[in-house]
Amino acid sequence: MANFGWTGKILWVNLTDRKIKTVNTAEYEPENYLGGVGLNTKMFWEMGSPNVEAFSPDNPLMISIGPLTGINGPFNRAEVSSIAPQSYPKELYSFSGFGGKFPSELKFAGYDSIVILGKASKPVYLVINDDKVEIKDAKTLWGLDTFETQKTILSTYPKASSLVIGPAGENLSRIAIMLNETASAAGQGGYGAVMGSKNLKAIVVRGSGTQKVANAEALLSIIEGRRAAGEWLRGAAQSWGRYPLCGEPVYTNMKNNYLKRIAGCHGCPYQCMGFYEMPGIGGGGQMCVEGWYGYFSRGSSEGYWDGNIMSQKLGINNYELLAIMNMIGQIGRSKRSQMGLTMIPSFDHVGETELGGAEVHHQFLTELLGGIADGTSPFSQGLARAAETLGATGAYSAMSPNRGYYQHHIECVGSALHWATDSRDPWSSCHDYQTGFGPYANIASHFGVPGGDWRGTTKTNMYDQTEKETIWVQHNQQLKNSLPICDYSSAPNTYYHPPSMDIQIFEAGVLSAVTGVDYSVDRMWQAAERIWNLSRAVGVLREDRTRADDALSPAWFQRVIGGSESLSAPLNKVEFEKMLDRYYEVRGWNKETARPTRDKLTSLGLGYVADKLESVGKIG
Amino acid sequence: MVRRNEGPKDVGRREFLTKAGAVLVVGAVAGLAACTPEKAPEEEVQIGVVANVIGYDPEKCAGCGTCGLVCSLSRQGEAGPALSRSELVRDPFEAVFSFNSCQQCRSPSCYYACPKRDSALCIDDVTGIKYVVADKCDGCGKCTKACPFEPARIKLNPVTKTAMNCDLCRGREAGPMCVQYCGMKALSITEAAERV
Repeated sequence: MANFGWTGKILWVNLTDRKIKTVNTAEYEPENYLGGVGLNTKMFWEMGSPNVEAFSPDNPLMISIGPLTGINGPFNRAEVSSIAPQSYPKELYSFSGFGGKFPSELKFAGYDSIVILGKASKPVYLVINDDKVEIKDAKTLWGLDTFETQKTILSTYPKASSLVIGPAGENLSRIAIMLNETASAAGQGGYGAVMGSKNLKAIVVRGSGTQKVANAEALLSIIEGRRAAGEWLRGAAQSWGRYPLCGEPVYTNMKNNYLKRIAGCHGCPYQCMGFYEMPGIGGGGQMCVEGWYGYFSRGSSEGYWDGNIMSQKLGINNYELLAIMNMIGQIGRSKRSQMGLTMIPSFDHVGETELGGAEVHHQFLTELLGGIADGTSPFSQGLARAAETLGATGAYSAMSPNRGYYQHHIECVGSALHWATDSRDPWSSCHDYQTGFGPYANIASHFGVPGGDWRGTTKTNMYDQTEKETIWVQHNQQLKNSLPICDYSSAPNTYYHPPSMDIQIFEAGVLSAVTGVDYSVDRMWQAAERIWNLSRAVGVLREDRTRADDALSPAWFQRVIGGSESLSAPLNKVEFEKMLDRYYEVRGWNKETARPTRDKLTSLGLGYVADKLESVGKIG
Repeated sequence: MVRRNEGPKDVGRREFLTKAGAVLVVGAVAGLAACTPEKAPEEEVQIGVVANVIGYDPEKCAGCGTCGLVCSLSRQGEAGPALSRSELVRDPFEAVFSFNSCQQCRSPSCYYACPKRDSALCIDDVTGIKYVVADKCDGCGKCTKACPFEPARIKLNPVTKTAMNCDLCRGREAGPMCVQYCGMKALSITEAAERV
């Protein structure tokens, strides 16, 4: 294994018997599976893709960084993989990423991954200080919110970075997050509850080492090229994340009066977050998703900020809350008491003014978010399960079937195909369509895929060869989740200036310079395809995934959903199924079963996967 | 090379500095308390060119730490705050940050304390910047102990055990890496003339 990029060590912790060991990363072929989701999925496969429930002690919680984590740039992310409590109706093997300071600190402590198994007999937290790893009693931390937990930890370990859960995770809410600092969360999947199910309140890490780089000169040269081109200063990310995406008057009021600092992840040139502070409510970070509170608070900045801080402290997934608000809007009048709400501001015509809004919304948010965090609200089980409990599945049409993630909007046909074939909501990769291929046919053409299909209106046949666009984005997605690199800075348009230093060339160059392994674009892209196929194999082996699971909600074929960023016309079912056929053909999968063939798996060095699938009669 | 061990009466050195321009004659000055070395003999008060330092605007800083990563990567060939010559101190819950780097004291305690001064720890004749020649440094740590700041602004590289300080990327045409790469423009070069 390369001596650079990866640290070579995986920390393996069993909370049941309190045994801690390190495993050599080389056992999992990191040069072929990179890191993040790739490394997690390789480990999960080697564990036998265990068919366990999300809250079983045997569910492995894996947190992997990647070969690029630790250098300056948008690379300081980690990926959590595990069985996801949020998936519905089955709990699927899935993933969620986060940034902040924790990922690079883990690299500096000398680990590529942390694998947590078992369940502690009472609440504990894990402290990693380079080679010294301890399981400590979390009696004084349990029950604290995410901010208090981290501040308490910082008072003992002032230079450490922590990944924690709040009350929502402790109480096994299926939409509980794992949070680092104030706004860097692993949200989708509900992995905060997996931590909670293991009685694990926090993971604290402090590293005194460095990220070893094979060819610093080459790396600096590439980075300087990006800096000089101004690429890292023009990111659209900054306009999405720094200021509330919720319209006026909240946007201007927050920006002008309450923005304390620009913020972001460690070493990243984008700094796409805003840190706001409001008297009586407090300070914290926000990104694009948090803007939803601004819409719902009907012009109240206090209501907006109250909601964001409250949910981050309780440890609740803001992205799912956006969908929950949508549902409350649909069925709130008749099901109010079942939701545990005494009052809904938008229906009860209160909260129209700035001052009244704050008070009214505080009461509303306390009922809703408090109920999610303590487990009394049906929404603590996530939207899909809540819809079932409330008898409201009919009112709720934009849910991805067999996975249970809300489809906020699908902005082009390629994106629709992506939604149908992923293991969760793929929104963190849909910026590739939204800001890249959808509006820019020239960039799509540069990468040899069709594009220009933004909202499905600009192409005469919007299904023509669109499977190639989806496959390109899915491979790009595997790299962003495995190198890793931030979604905001890896869309195909991001590094398009000049085209001779496009995203693929940039990533392969950085990866080669850091690891000392010669990665051509083709070799790197093949690693992405390998990871995608292995992920599908896990779904086939563990979850019996078939073509029937590669589906969208029927509503997308019947009507227009989702507003100005969504498809302008319903999808054509016949054309969509034909496109799905072609997708499997290009993938080298059996189009009847949607499962990889032996030939395809063997060509990717996954012959051992083909053997396993064949032995259980599930090869494509 | 400035021969600092010869004291302030070194006429030769004064002549040299005059030719180099920007001469400042500094006494054992009050008002530089933070930089006044307790251990340095009075006659060793520095007379020389006042160096620039890295200026820091806490209002602009996002606390991202790019400064430390580009510093260590460019100077040590690997990335991490542990090998950075500057230090960023973060409070992520208040979004309050501070930045520590060598203050290039006019009376440099580190320099006086160095047993191999002008060989291991040197002063640039033209810019006045104190810098370390790593392969001459024995790693005795006396410079670190002598530094009047807490934490010390000259520290031992944890890997090579030789001293290192912010020398403003001396010799780098584009100037200090951290200043160039700070996306928030929180870092700058504070010119000698602006220094108090």
